[in-house]
Amino acid sequence: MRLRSSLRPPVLVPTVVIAVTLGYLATALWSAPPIENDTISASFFPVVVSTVMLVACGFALVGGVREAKPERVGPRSMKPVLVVLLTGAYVAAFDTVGYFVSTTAYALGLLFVLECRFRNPVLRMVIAVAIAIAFYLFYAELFRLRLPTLGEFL
Amino acid sequence: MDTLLGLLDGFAALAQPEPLAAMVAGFLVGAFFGAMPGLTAVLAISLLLPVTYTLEVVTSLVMCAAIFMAGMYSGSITATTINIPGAPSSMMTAIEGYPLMKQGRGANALGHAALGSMIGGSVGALMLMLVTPLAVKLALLIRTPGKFSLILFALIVIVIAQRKSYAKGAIATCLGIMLATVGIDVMEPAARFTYGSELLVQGINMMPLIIGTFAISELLVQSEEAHRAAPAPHLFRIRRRDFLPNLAEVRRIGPWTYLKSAVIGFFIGVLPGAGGSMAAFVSYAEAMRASKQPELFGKGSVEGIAAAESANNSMCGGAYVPMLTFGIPGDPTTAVILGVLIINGLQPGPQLFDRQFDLVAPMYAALFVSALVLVPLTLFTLGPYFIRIVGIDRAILYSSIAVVATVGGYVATFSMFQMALTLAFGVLAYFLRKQDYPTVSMLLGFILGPDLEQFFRRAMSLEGNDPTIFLRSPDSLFFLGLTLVFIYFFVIRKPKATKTG
Repeated sequence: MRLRSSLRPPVLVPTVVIAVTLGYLATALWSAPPIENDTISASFFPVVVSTVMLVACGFALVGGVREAKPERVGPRSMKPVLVVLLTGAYVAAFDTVGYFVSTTAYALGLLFVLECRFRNPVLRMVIAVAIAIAFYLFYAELFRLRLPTLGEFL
Repeated sequence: MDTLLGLLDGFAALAQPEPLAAMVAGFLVGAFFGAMPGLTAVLAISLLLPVTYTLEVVTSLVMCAAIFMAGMYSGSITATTINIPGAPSSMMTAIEGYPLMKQGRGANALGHAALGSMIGGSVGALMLMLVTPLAVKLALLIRTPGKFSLILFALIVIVIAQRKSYAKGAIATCLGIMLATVGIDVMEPAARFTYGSELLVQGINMMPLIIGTFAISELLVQSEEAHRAAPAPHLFRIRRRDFLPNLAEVRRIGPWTYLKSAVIGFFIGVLPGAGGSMAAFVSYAEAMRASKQPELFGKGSVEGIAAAESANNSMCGGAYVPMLTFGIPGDPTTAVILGVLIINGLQPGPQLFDRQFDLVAPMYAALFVSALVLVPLTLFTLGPYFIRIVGIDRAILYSSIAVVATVGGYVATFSMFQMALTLAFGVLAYFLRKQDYPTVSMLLGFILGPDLEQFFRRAMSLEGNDPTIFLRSPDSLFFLGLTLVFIYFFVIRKPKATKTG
């Protein structure tokens, strides 16, 4: 029960930020002492920022614990996770399979995840292709920006 | 005199085909993004940021100014018609506009919103032209310790502006500053916080941070609400002549209300982190206090609409002042426009006005023309169609935005690493937003952090590492004193006032 309450977002976010800040602070101190030969070094400012951050996190953590009432919430949407996974796959495939194939697949996936009003899969495919073509024209033709192609991979 | 001639040249430059087309295109894009709930002018500029590499600097800046003005004004359309503010700054307009809509006077409310936006936006742009030369002269008086204290003041005001939680504001700001320290040190040729990765030696690019923070995080937030049906647009049937504001009502509102709200909006815009919402709220409250019919407020007061819209559009001009003269953005949109300046190799400050005023002047002209001409023209010609924007399928819209955002992260530097960073920052900003951490503060910390460090270390090294230089230097002392004044009035004194009711 205590573990579950400590994993709630109002507590979790400052806790994660504290962990990251401690790592950042350790790196700063490891790289150089903040003041060397009476001169401010490159680690001085990061040490000061880390200290301010830790103090602010302390306040946010206390505030998070106080406001932390177990909320009864409905089932959480998995859609943001699906969108992140889709976008991650898109980023991974973009340079390899080229703009057109990856963008069409990405747009089609998003149309399903975001529940496009048009339910016909063929129509959704047409919309996805239209999105890919529209932004190809925008970037590659209007602004002359190079986009990766499947040919480069093959 | 030179400034006046420079401004006239700016208007002449705006009349050239490319900047003129950019202004009109920017205004239409801004109006679309402003009218669509969930989309904002900041997002529009963020998405267009990568293509500014390929445009002339003047064209990019003109486009940004038009998007800014249009986005601020068009939020009033959905605020009035369906009670959903297209932009946060239109919240007060929704309070007054929607009751009028229910009374069958929606188009009249939109007409008053457009008139208020037109007057406020024009006054704000004119004040920008008048105030900036004075601000530039002041900027020349500020020396290195003063520059440090000024940026510290701006960052503290940004934190104070987050009234929900100062701790969260401070965390987001520090996070931005920490991200900015990655890469080559600001004073010495040594890499910091790269953790052995060569990809981080150049530091974190502003582009993925901006696109991730504003576009990807918005996509993730909207994906949670994908099941919500769009409001039915056909319910709102509006004719063009309905948009013309009633002259008797305009006379009753009076020029003083418009002017006072515009001046309030402008000076709130000058404050870092304050933004259009605060400008609209403060001027709305002042209009209600001074009104002869305060009982109408909350039930459909055109005076309230005029005050709020006049102020939030005037804020656009105000927000440019600290950004152009000191490199300190007044609101999220100017933070992104500052990114456009930096990406195009322009450095804000007195030298920008001294040597490159020809690049900035058309932007001033675009802000003025957008408010004076394009706001009423667009409402009159496209007003009835704007109402239908909300009926666009969200899935198609956000799929398109996702493609623009992700590909935008790539085309800026043709780097897959930056594209991946765009997604990473989007996820980070999503989590921060879900917990009410102000992501705009993170961006401002990222932009201002390097200067804060640089001016601090420079001042210390010039004075033999004696920290009392910040108290001995008059300009620095002024800004430190101003910081204390703000802390006193907005942090310390405020709770006491609440206790006494």
